Amino acid sequence: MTSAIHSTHKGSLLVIDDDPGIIESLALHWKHKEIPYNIIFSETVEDALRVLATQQVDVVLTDQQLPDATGLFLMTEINRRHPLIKVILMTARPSEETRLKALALGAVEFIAKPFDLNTLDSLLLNIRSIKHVGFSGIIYQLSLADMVQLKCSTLARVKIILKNGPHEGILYFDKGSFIHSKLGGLEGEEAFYQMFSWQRGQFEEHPYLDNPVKNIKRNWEGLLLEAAQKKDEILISSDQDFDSLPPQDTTPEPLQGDDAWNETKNPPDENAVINLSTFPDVKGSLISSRSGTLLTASLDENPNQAGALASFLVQQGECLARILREETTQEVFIETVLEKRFIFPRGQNLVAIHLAPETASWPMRETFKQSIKSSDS
Amino acid sequence: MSDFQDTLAKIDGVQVAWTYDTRGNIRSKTISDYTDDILREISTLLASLAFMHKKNSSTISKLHYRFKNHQLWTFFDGENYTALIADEDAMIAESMDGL
Repeated sequence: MTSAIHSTHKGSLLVIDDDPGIIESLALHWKHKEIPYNIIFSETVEDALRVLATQQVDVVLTDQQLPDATGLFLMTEINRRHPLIKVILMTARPSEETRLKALALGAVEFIAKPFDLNTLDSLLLNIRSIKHVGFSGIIYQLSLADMVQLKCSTLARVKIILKNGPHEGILYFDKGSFIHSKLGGLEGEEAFYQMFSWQRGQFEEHPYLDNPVKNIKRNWEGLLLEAAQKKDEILISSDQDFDSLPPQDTTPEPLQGDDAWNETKNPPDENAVINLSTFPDVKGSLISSRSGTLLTASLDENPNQAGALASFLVQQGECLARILREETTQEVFIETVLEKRFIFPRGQNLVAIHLAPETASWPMRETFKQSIKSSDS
Repeated sequence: MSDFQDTLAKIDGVQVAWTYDTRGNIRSKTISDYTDDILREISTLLASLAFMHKKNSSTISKLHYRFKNHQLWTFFDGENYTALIADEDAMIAESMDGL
């Protein structure tokens, strides 16, 4: 059901909450305290989307738990259909996960119930002066791969104009997909591959209302893989170095705050590595954080690179786990002509064991794990 | 279906075996409940991983992930790759020589 409070001021606020107490409280408050919005109340996401399709709305204040869907789902739809609307998400059960998801979807504010009505008023007054949600500025050395990943992962509906000297290409993103690309006479994937080979350039991001023909068939992950391989082949054939490739170093930044503290709280690390070195098959071992920060190592190779590799393999494992509806990776085993590596989690950290290629390592997996456990105890 | 894929599919506990190329495109697969979309997503990720590893280090010949309820294996022969998803307790390594 939809109801409304009209004033003569400009601006329109859509409030979505199925709690009659909240609706009554807000309506009563705004009846006596004027704010520069015409206010529309909805109780469901379906009703809210109907309002958004038929009326001009500037700001949405939505509850997270609604009868027919979540506020986050509504935000996704707003991003897709009405990207210029500013959204405030409110919830009686605030969590860091919900807050981060809301901010990733572009929420202007995330507020926990119960909240002070005067604070909400201030927020609603200030929100109108926000021209754009998010940061603005200049980003140096942002690769096209980064840009595609960012736009797809945030479900953005935007077009990006990419410039390189006299050349100008355009990329369209919609609802988590990269849908259209054009560069001069080239269209689709070929246009993107051409732009991907550019070493530098400028970009502008804009919302769009037109409906470009979908000329990108691959999913964005496959497209980036293909583009990276094509670019690699070009560079190898032209004998250039690899520095100009999109960043593929998977070593993340060291964690800050609580996570960093938790990651350093494993004092028996050195003992564990020493114990592993007593096995004849073990060439070396290390313990790193899940983000690749090296904690301790006994290796005959670059330990930072080995730690980064272990982190990379486990991070890819977490992606595979999500696809298979698993919670987490329990073990990784990798074999090349030169070596074998066995990697497994140890609390917040990772253990990576480097083995000789001729090692019959498979039966030793549990032994290695037991060795680490005994070090911990 | 390749002989190798066929061999893998016959191991007890194997739910699906398939072959994919260096771009993650599925070439052949055994009959299973896994959709093409899921296998394609996994193949793309594995192909990407193999590409990154080769670029930074060396060519992967064998890769195994163990999860709580599944295990995933992939084998790279330089041209086409073969992968399988199996029950968590399937004896894949033990069923193959040379691991």
